[in-house]
Amino acid sequence: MAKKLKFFLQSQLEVFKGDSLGSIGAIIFACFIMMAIFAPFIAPYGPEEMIYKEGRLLRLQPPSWHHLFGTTQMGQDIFSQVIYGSRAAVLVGVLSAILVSIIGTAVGLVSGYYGGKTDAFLMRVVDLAYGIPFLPFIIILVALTGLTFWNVVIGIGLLLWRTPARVIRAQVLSLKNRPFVEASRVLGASNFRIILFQIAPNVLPLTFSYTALAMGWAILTEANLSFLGYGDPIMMSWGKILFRVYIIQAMTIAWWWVLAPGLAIILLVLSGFFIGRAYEKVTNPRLREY
Amino acid sequence: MDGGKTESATMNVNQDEMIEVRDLRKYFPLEKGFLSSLFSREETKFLKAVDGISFDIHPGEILGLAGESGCGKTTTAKTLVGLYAATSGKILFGGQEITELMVQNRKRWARTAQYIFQNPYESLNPRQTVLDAVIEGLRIHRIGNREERIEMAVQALSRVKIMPPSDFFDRFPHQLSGGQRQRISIARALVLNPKLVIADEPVSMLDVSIRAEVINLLKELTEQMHLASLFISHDISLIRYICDRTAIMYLGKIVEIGPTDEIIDHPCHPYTQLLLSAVPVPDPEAGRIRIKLHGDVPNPVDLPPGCRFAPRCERATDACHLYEPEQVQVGKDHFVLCYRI
Amino acid sequence: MLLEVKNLKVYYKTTKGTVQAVDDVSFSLEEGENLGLVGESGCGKTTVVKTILRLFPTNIAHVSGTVEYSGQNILQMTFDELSRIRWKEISMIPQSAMNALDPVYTIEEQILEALQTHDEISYSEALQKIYGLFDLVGLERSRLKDYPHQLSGGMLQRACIVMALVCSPKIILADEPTTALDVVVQDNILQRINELHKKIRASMILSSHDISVIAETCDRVAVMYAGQFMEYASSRKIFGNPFHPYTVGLQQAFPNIKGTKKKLIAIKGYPPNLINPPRGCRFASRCPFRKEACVAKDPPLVEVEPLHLSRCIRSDAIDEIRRRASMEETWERTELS
Repeated sequence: MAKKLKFFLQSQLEVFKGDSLGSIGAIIFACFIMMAIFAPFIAPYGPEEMIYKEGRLLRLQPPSWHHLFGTTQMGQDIFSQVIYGSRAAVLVGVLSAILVSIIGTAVGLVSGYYGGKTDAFLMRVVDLAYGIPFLPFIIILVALTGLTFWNVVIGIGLLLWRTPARVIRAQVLSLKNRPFVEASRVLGASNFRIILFQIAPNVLPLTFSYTALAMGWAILTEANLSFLGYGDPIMMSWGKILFRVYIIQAMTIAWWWVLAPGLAIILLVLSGFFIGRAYEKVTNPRLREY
Repeated sequence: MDGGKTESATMNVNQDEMIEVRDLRKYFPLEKGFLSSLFSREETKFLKAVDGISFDIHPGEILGLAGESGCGKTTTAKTLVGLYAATSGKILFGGQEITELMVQNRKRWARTAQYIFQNPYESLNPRQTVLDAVIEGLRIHRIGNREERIEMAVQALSRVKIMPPSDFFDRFPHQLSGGQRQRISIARALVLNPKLVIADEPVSMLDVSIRAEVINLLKELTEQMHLASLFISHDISLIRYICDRTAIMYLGKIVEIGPTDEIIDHPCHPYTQLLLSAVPVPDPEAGRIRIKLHGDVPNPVDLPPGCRFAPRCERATDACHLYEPEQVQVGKDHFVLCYRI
Repeated sequence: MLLEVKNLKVYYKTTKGTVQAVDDVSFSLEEGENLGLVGESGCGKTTVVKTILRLFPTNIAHVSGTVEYSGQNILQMTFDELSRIRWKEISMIPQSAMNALDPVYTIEEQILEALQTHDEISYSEALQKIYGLFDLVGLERSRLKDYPHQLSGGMLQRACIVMALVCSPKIILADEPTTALDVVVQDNILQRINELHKKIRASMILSSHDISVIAETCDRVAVMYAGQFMEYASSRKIFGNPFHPYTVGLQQAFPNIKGTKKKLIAIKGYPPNLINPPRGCRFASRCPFRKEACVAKDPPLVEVEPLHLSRCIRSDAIDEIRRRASMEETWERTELS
């Protein structure tokens, strides 16, 4: 069992070895995770802490050595805000991605393997999911159920599974007639066993790819929601930083206030996409370079 | 085919483990388009992949099933192992009819009948180790505990000359050669101690220099384990080498069946004669007498009435084009489906 | 001499290293002669065939040596010169006709394209030429208007043969032309190839892993293994008087439809890794007749009798080798699994 785990981890490392962008993405992602976990230790100030100097509020300070990303209208250190904001991003990103990939993979497996009416039904549900506009749906959902990040995660999970479901279903369709699956059937394996032990392991790289991509989308969505004012009121998030600079119309003045969270969003989302691409290369050898 | 029953009486074998196939048919319905199924009153067309074949396989014997692509040999094999349900006909094992049981209780039939696939590069799960692949059957049927399973895997791998077995346990298929992969597929099939083994073109995707390894192995195992083996191939030279008896299939029918040497030395059916004359010989000096062929293989869905080979047969008469021929005995255990012997 | 290949080396790049797919291959082709390249998967025969037309994949690492056609080196030609040779002088029948033909164009459109790209010829003249070839290969003229998916495997292969012949080339390269076909269809195609050879004085290079196909169609044969020629002689000599242990071993491994039934003997082991080819004879690891000297130095191709080359230093012991090769125990000696 331990040997299998070791082999599994080794093979995940293999995925990144050949792919420079993927490795960069993985490193960036790891940095953000560290940032999220160790935020209180890294951030020089609290997220909402108002900073005074010589009795006056340090409003709208451009970047300096003390405040790497400058300060807000209320004298808050933007660097600390970005660091604390990574928590919301990573949490929403990772949790949503897991939810999306579980639902998407399960649907893809069942739909692709069983075919027939089950497949037809599930694919119509996917069509429905595609028909629903993503952001408006989440906004409405969050407005109705409450402005918590859990609801955001559920909202994302309820829709984004549609893409991995289709793609994984396609791969299951091609896998289910491969000789090694027939061999399992001949040995007497039940459908459940075949799906779990023969097909699922071969679909994993695709699952991982879509998990990473979903993470990118989830982070973007969370930022969007917070930017529009629908974010969790308690948690600091990058979107919220942008929201604040926007509503006081300071975007043209305080470029640092926009740059910092913007960069953070771009970097983390890109890292998700790079990781996703690295896994995609595993499933599609033609994408590999020599 | 009545010849089968008298055969077993004279052959003095353990009838308990004999496979008998009687008038087996497997038809595949052809799907009509949406509009034609709504509006056209045409009957559903069928692809008659296997259309009434009968044969026996005795334990310790290798029966060859030869023919070109599309003749129905793979369909026969898959029906025999339970992957397809027979459309009609009977399959008996040890005298008992199991046609329905083999599909309803696939799992139980798996203990008796196993299959070796053609493509060694696709018949092993790329994410399973050799050990996992070999003991898969034991896991499915919950046989033995971990140690016992490993012991059985060692035995199975030794039988197929993968030595030393433990060295291979943790290897993955991509680390093995084609010949090794095929032997592991065989080990996987044997670990359940089946009575019937179907080998579907087991060496056609292997390099020539290592085919002999797998072929000789199959022959040895059939004798040692007293298996009833069905060997499917389009390569007649291989069939000649390994099969005790052979059935020649054409468009879903067995046109000739009998002892291999008999069939090769004295082929009676025009198609058998054609097939044999088409085999190239690795000798630049040998002149081959080729039989002239008329026309191409007919469409298997819209079969003409009468003998299926008639459109291409030199000896065909009017009767051949109208009525399907019946089985004729031309020698001891040698039967031909033709009027014009 | 129509074609002369000297010291050809073709290497490919892969993620694991550089594969020395073809390593120092030399041969010549006379007018009207059929050359057969026999070997198993990975021996390099397809690479040799494709190199003659300079058909390289994207991961090519190294090409050296010369491929001389009519005094010019194909490997050094400009693209224009090469385009004039391709198809018009040297054409190819690919392995899998299904994949070689474009599914969205009719057979007629594809053959016409081949013809009209290289020759100034009117439609009616072209059609007559194509009809003539169709009759020659036994295809119904009506098939010209069909799409590839409407033809069977054998018909497609024949259509590919027509396409290869349509510009009246001097050399036809056939890369495993019958591997994907049933035995009766294969026989048909082989017959056609032989008949065509008599009618059209084109030379042919035919590669196959099936020694019987080569035996029936080729005048000279080269046995390839691990990127090199192991033996090179006339077809009669290779089959009747083989000198290289690999050739002898191959013959032992082939079942025969006629003659006495002998025990099939496999050559144990597998071909060497061409990323790091072993020193000395590449067949040594599987050869039951190897000596120390075989692994110490790369054996050269030597003339064992007039016009018969073998890459084996033990050709003087050939009688003993042939005698022992027919015994199963000889081949058991080498490594297993």
